Amino acid sequence: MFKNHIKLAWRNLIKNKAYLAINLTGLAVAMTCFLLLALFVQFEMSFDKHHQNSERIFRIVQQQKGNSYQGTDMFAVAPLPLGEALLQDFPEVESVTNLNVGGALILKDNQSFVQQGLYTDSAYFDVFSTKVIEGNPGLALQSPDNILVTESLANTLFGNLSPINQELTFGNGKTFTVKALIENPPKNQHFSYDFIVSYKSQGYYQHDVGQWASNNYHTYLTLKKASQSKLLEDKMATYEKITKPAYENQGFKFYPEYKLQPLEDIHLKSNVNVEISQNGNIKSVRLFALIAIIILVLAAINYTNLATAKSAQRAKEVGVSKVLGAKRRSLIIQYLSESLFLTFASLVLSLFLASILLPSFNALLNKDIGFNLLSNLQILAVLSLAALVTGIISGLYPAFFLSGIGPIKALKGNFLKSTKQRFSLKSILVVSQFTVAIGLAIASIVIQQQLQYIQNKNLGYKNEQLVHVRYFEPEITEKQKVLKEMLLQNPMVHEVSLSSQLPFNVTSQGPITSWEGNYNDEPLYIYRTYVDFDFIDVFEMALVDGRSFSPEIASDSLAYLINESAVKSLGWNAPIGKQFANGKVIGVLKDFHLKTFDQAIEPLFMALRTPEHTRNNGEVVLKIDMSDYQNTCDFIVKTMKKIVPHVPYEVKFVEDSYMQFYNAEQRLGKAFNIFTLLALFIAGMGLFGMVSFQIAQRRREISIRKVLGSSVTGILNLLAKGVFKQIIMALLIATPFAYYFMESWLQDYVYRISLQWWVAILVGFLALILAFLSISFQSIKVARTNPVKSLRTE
Amino acid sequence: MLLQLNNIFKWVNSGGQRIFLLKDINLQVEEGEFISVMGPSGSGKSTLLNVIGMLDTFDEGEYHFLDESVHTLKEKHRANLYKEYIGFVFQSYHLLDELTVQENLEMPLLYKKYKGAERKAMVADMLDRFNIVGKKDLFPAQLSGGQQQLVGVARALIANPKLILADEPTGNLNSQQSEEIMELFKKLNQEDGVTIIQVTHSEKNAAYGSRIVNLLDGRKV
Ligand SMILES: Nc1ncnc2c1ncn2[C@@H]1O[C@H](COP(=O)(O)OP(=O)(O)O)[C@@H](O)[C@H]1O
Ligand SMILES: [Mg+2]
Repeated sequence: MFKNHIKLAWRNLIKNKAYLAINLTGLAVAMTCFLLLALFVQFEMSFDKHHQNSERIFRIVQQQKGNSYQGTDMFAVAPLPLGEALLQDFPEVESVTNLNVGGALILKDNQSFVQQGLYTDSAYFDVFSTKVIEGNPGLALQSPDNILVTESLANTLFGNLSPINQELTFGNGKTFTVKALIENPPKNQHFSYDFIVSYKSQGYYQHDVGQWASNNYHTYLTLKKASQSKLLEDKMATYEKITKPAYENQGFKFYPEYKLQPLEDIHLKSNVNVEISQNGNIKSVRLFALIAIIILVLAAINYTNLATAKSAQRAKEVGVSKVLGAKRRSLIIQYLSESLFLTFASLVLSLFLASILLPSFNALLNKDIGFNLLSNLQILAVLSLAALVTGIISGLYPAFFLSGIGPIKALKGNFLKSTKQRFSLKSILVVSQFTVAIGLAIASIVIQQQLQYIQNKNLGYKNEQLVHVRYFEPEITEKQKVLKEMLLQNPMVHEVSLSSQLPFNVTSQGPITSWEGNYNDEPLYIYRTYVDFDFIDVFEMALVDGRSFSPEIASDSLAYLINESAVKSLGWNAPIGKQFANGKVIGVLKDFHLKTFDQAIEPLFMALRTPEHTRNNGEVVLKIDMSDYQNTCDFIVKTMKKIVPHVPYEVKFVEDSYMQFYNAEQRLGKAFNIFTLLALFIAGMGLFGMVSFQIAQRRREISIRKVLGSSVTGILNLLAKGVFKQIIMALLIATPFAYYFMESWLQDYVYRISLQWWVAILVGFLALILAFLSISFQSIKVARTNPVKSLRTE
Repeated sequence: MLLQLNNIFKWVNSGGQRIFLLKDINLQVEEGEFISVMGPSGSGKSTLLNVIGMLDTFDEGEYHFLDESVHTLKEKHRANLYKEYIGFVFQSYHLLDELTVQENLEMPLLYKKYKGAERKAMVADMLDRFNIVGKKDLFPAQLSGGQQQLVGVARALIANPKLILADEPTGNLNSQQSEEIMELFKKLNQEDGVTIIQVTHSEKNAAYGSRIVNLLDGRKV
């Protein structure tokens, strides 16, 4: 019996190739999408769960009430003595480790490699699980002269030779001995590294010992039981008696409250200051999960629709089976096995498609998701379940519908004749498909518009023709005069400026209490950028008052430029010449965007850069002639290497680096475009199928109308009218939803576009054109055939 | 003279062979005639009627309808011609199931761009004439076969055609219903001067006409 079902299912499917192709493509595309999105969701949810005790590991974060920075007063850092104190004071703390992540230059055979380092202590291996290939990492880290390397770094430096006991020299001259080889950290860990050394080898360590007001570490601890975290948080309040005086001593008016953050929450749920790396976003994970399900539902709707429509052709089969005594149940099984057969065939197809598409998908989302399905039982199970549910749900309606028709009615073949039903299930399904497609299309246009706005809005300075090189070497600042001269010798280089930061990413902020008129010593929290004489010119920033820095005026070393926002905050009417910080204000900068568009323009000052501000790093910004770009870039790198050899300097467009801050938006935009296209594709295909079956059903009617004098356009109108009504209904449903969601998405931006009414009109218009093409493609042929042909058979 | 067929041939190619559906048909029809076409099943009656109705093409010969040479006309002009002058009645009525009686009657008028008020008057007139005013809001499925064919004839007549082509109009009806339709045809022919060409298997029905054309294997006999 079962074999018979499969056989019949198979024959029925291959009998109508177009039908099979439409369904298979639709389902396979949807399943591929679903699979890729499921892999993404799984990957994002899996962060840091590979550590053996991951549910018991917590990170220390601190709340500094009164010290809000970039929208939050939470910081993911801790002072060095805290860890030790916790271990001593609270028995529920099993182990504590401090760590730091940062880049370093490793030299080998006249080559240099920029590598990511993890600076930690030997307790790291008690808290985190790391796979060791050779050596004893815990023991090795007890000495500040040892280094642990990952497989990939070992491979880069030593090829297949064992790295153990090899010496490694760093760019700063320090030498380490390799004492252990460890596996690369998994991609789904919230921090990454190429090598591990003890932070005791670093110069800053001495200044951190016993310092409660110096937050240079990320501190992680393992508790005996995860449930003890709340209690411990309360107990940590006792450290107030140490931190309060320590912070006061440093001149701060606030002090920290320590909290515990579960390790597993960091990647998706944490958004505090000083994160180790860019975290994921639970919102986009949810959004993508939703889209995965929507696309699957769209494809299931297609199948249901087409299968029901096709029942017109299968009525005879039903009638005959029934007359021959088939039970309703066995017919239901028959049709269900057909839909399940189809969904599982699509599943196999989608595995194949997904494995091809995964690299591009990874590139799109900037992820590193692996594809090893056989070991990924979770995904396999979810996928099979999705296929099963899709198959059953989409097969159920046609199955019950077909098997429920009486045999005589079925044999006569006229059961499908519509009895003026206004809201048939079929039209509801078509409307819902287009609702989704139209909603997504509106969303993706709005995202594109906002991105365009970000790219094109006048930032208050010029990005064009500018390139920049980030550097970390004190020599560059020390020899900046020579460097500038050398760079300017090339006629392609028009202007050069050295500064601490680029104008769109001003991150250093702090309080200033000394300014004219501040009788109560109120602190003004103000951003600052340290620049040279050429900075304002290079970026073509505008001054609304006063003048820029000048090399001819010696007192300018203590002069300040402030922006309009600062003037407003200071409440000054005539700012020029006013006393500010250690000197005087000489000019007022027109407000420019110093942050991304989700943050308002805030007070800022600029001062000339002195050695105390350089912190050994900064940006070389050049205005160049773009005509010989590659050679000019080579020249810039070569020139900088003349001052510091070995460093792999990289020339970047300022414009690109600016857009880099909108990476997440750009990726979201791209992903939305793709999903929109897919949804439109699936909806369009569904429509195509629907129309072709509608035409098959209405052949007789079309012929009669033609005989009675209807023209080809008249027939087209007839077929299009119903579909157009459905699309307009979908537009009316989708628009308010899409506008509501996009309005709330735009709320995150201080500087944003306003929603345009024409977007919905445009999308509706496009959907109508798509529908019209899909209809006319098929119906023109039918409308033009001789009506006698279909009227003859009586 | 209403129409004239001269040496009409129609064939299809099948397996390299020419199969003739119509062979050397010559026929002249005057206005006001009532012709019955007879012949065994498959002899080409429907094909002939479709050619006369310009729904189907032919391969050789000449066809004159009123002052027009149909064989030289483009499809669009042919369509305009039959829309204007010819009404069709089918064996299986071919009413549209999702339209009411009234709406079915109105349909040919829609394709001729009559104004709304005009259409209403013409439909009302037709309902009145055929005595089916009480049925105007029913759907075809709610009518008997005879009533359906009555509507079919009414629909064919509504735009005042010169010629009615009826392919076995009583094929699905019982004898009493058939008689009613035939009486109706006779009345239309005699009182309103409508030219009628009908296909029929029944000698009795054929007798209503003024002339009989016999077909055998696509040839007039
Ligand atoms: N397009 C066609 N292709 C092949 N054979 C056809 C075609 N149209 C009609 N025939 C054949 O031509 C013959 C005449 O058909 P028809 O005019 O319908 O006969 P009647 O109406 O007298 O029963 C039949 O044998 C039919 O099968
Ligand atoms: Mg016939």
